[in-house]
Amino acid sequence: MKLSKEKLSDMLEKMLLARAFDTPLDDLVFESKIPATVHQCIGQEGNIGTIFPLNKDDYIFTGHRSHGLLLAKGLDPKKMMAEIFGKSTGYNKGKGGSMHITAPEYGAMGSNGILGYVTVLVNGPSFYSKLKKLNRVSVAYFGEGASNQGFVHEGMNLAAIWKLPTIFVLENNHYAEATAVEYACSTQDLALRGKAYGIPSYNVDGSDILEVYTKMQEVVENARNNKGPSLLVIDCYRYKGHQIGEPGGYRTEEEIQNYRNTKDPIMKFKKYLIGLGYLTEDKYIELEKKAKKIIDDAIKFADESPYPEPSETYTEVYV
Amino acid sequence: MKREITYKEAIAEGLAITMRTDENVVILGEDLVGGVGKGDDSLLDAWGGPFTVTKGFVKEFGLERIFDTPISENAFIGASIGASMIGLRPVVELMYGDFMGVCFDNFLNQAAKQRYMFGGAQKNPITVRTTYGCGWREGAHHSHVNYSLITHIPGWYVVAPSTPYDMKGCLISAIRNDNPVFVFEHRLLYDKKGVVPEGDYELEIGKGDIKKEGKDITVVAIGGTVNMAINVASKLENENISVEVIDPIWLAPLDEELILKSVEKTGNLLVVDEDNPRCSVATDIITLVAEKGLDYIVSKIKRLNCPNTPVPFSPVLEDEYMITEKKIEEAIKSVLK
Repeated sequence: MKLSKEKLSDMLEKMLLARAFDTPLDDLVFESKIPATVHQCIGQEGNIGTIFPLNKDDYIFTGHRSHGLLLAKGLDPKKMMAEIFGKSTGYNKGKGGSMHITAPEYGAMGSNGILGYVTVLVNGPSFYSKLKKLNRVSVAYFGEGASNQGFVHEGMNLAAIWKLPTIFVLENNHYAEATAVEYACSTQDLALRGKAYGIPSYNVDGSDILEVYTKMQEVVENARNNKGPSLLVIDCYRYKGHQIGEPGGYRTEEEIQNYRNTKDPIMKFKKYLIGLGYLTEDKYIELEKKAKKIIDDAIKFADESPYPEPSETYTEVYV
Repeated sequence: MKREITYKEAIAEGLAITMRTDENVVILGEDLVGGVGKGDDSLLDAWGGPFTVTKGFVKEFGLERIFDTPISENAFIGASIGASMIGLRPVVELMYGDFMGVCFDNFLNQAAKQRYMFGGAQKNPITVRTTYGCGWREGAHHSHVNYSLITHIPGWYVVAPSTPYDMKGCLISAIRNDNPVFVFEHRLLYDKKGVVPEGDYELEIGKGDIKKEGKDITVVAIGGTVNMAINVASKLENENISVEVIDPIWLAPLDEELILKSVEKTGNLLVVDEDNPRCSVATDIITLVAEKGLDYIVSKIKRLNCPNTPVPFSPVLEDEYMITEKKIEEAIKSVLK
């Protein structure tokens, strides 16, 4: 698949933005600017390749580790950061926080703190889209740990029997908190979990954003052409802990360094673009600075925004 | 000098004592060991649970007694209920009380009903430990106080201790009891210290405690609010208001006699309950007094719950949402005025 220089550049910028967004969060949590711990996606930026084949009005359902995906879907970093700070200018007026950032106007239907539940929710919009012939797809993001929840299996079966335009994206980052995939999952070929329900299922390398993008493009087209759901299993890795402040100790430092050195999705993509002649070292540094500036502005915006009025506690329980 | 340990250490001691005294006690939950599955023993015991309660357990009890589970609450709690039917005494950790939603049939239709439905032919000596309590800025899916949901179901014993001493004794009793018991552990109490004997002791199931004696008003407080009520009671002594603080400890069975006797003495009642107000334990206790102790009441009955909303994330909103000592003090004064 031939992609334009602009498209490739956009991908790199979104990856850099994702990393720039999550990088300062450690300090912001330790300084209590952010009132609680958060889950970073540093190392998993290749996964945002799944967003580029989607339209603005396609739906995504995300989990607790979703900042990068949401930024790629087009959400405003300022309003995301403000939400994480608990400010009234956040996407959800400070009521949700990092784990629940939601912006339906971008198709970001709701970040969920209950692992795996998105795999049943996701079939609602795809069912509606099919019924009303909207030609939209609906995507659920969940981890390998969440794939051990019953929801996931029920959700896949329903999507399959109704041939829904649902795409299941299983982000296998190898650890559910402190528990390794080798222990917690009965098979290491997680694509089998979709195949068991007759769903076309693919393993892709999350360190290669173009491989992720290309396969996603294919399954999105299939979904739009009424060929039913697919499962994409992305092999990826988080460099940071499950959450900021976790004790670690369940994996070796060498393992983390090895991933950083050999499978970093940004470094690999950068090298690829330089090889194509689309990027130079100087240009890369400029793009990195640009991403950092956007996030610095977002932090400033969040920091200067007001907290919600206490009376907001009692609003929006009902419509 | 009497030994003081934290609420969290009291949980660990209670668990360890029951495991040492009964080989049929096993524990299951997510990340209870941490670092399993890598084939590298140096990584084992990385966490000891997400709140590090069971840190070190794998060294003493081995992977045959302490099981890390996948994120499959239905599967490991269901298996525990099944194992309890033929002789094990599983203690399962449900990481957050909020997560009972993903595995609720275990609680609603299975563990609670088997004894009755099978005419006494089965029993389910399972203990479910879960954390609860807002104040951690973790948003609506990790902060809900929902012990009333389980208290509502016949067949469960439910306990929400407020001190390390009560926690250890109640947990030991819970694990050794032949009924299913739900133990609610308040996260804001985990690091709170108290005097706890080193040995093995059980506390009577269904027995509450007078945490502070008084004569003007009975404040029934639950779990995380008990210490707040005691602090308020001490403060109000300076204003010549004498508050009796009752901790039922067990929500099911409920120590009705203790509450009624106290109300008979004071003539006034405030119930403090962090759960949402509708169909709450507070409502239940108010009903108890309305039915059986209305003649004792001289002025007013009042309850103080968190509002009828999910738990908000922003610190400003969560602070508004939470029960505070100030709110308890105001509620006491509004009853007595």
